[in-house]
Amino acid sequence: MKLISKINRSYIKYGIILFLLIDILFILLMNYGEQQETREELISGTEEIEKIIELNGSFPNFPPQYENYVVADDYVNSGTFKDTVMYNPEEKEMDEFLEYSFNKWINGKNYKIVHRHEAETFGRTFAMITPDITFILTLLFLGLMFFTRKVSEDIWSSFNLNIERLNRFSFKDPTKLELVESDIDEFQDLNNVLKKMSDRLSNDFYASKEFTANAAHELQTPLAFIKNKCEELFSDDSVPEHAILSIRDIYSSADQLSGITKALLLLDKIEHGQFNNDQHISVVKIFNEKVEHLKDIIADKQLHIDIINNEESQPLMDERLIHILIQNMLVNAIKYTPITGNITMTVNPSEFQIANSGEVPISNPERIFERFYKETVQVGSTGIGLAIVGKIAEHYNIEITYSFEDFKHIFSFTLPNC
Amino acid sequence: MKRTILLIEDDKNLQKAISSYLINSGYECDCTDSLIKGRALFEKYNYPIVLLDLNLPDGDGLEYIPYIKSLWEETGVLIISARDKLEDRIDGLNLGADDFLVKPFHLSELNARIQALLRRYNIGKKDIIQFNEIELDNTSQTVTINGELVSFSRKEYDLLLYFLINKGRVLTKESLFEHVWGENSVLMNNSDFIYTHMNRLRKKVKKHTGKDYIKTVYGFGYKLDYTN
Repeated sequence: MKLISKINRSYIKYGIILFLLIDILFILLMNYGEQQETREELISGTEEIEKIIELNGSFPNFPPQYENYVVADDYVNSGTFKDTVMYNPEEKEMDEFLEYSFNKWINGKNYKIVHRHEAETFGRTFAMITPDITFILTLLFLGLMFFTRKVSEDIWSSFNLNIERLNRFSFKDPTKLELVESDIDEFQDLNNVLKKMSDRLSNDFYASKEFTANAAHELQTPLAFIKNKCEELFSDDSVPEHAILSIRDIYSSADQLSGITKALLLLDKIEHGQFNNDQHISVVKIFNEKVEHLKDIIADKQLHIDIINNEESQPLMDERLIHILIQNMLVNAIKYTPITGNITMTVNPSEFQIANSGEVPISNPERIFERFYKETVQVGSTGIGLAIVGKIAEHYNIEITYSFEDFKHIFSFTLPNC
Repeated sequence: MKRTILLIEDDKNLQKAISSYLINSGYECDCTDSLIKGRALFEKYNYPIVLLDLNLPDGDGLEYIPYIKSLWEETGVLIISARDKLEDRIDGLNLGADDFLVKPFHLSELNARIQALLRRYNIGKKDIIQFNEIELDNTSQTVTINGELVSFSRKEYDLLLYFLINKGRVLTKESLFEHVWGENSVLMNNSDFIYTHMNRLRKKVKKHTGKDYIKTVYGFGYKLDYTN
């Protein structure tokens, strides 16, 4: 949720509560004020009645507003207020009244004078005042919302700009992270922290890149030496056979080590995005090329290869990487297809599939693209070939799915950028 | 006349291994470990081949290539480097280098590349390699056995050429794999393909010559036997 919506939502939520409180408080205050006023009016009203009785000797009764009558001599009432319910002839219903009564000796008679006034009930005041309050508060509220939006747009503009820059930022670019300066301290603090962090990450990125490259590079020369020394000994007739076999093991391990360093270097280069000569490449063309390369092996295993080209698929990829991907998949398929089996490659507009005959489904299909995972303990398998495929797919957001149908392993590659 | 190769490599061990191999293969070899010394040697003698490392104590071997080519254009420059970046390859080749071999390489592969370079600068002459009844014409990439044209697939041809150049030497299956596939077998998750190629090649050679020239050695490599 955007901060502005969050703020507005809080405005509405707390605004309603606040509105109710204000409304009630207002009504209570109004009620109190009105009551005070009514009391004063009642008192001053009776004073007038008093004067009229004094002058005229009598005052007509207008119930329920005015009443006066002569009472017993011992009746004493210095002035009391009382709530009462009486019939209101104007409204023709029972109504609440506030009554003020007291006694007064006028011209030698003890009068009780009563003056009543319709009481302001809570409900009535509520109905009277609420629309006004609602109107004023709504106006205030809308104004505040508009104001907040304007201010927030202004405050967040540099922040949003920076977010955009951060989104576009990549360590692969040689340029450093540049953020828009802000006059708001909090944002400026954030900018500084981000800058510091990105500088450190970028240093780490380059350090790790350099380290892998250096490590792999520095290993190659001694490995070359070991391999070359062994090769020399292989052709040396004076070396006894049992020694040759030991040298053979040393040689084979050195060769494997050099292969692994190369593979790790390759994986690292893909991860660091160092293959970026992307272009649209015909998958069918590469398939055909690779089949041609492997035709001796295919002929030897009497495999039947089909390429079904439904519509040319041309993913945007670095040429070397798509070559490696297809080669390793094809080599893998050839390796695991039984003699006289079939390999079918299907190319669709946004996907290609490699299917090969097999007896049983792969037990852990989600793991075969992991580094150094081996489905079976087979001689001559390192588990790196498919890890490279997995890494390339990951780099280009290609989705790999595996299924087993009609005694066929089917690997589908769904391309995101066709 | 023996051909002399100039080797500029700063790793003393590797330098020794390469030079002793080259001498065993019938070349002369002058070794040096820096660009300055290499330059001094190159100004004095005419080398048909220069093996050049890139990361040298006194600079980048790449900068040395135009100099070599400006003095003697027909010198074959073969870069031997652990730097396996495409940019380096492209830069090297653009600057005039003839080939690029990434460390660690097989000495037999180095020999094959040197031979190819020597043949390349042997303009005008026919590029034919003869081994007993086998005649390999590298210009038309055809093989004639006992005067009869025999068809070989591209990979079989590459392998045969590799054996003829390295005759008498043990070629390991790893070296053969890299030669045919241009990659370490680890990267392709496969090392048994080479058996298929070897079986086909051996059968074909045996069928047309009647002799089993290519021998298995200790079960891990092969050798073109020229003694019989």
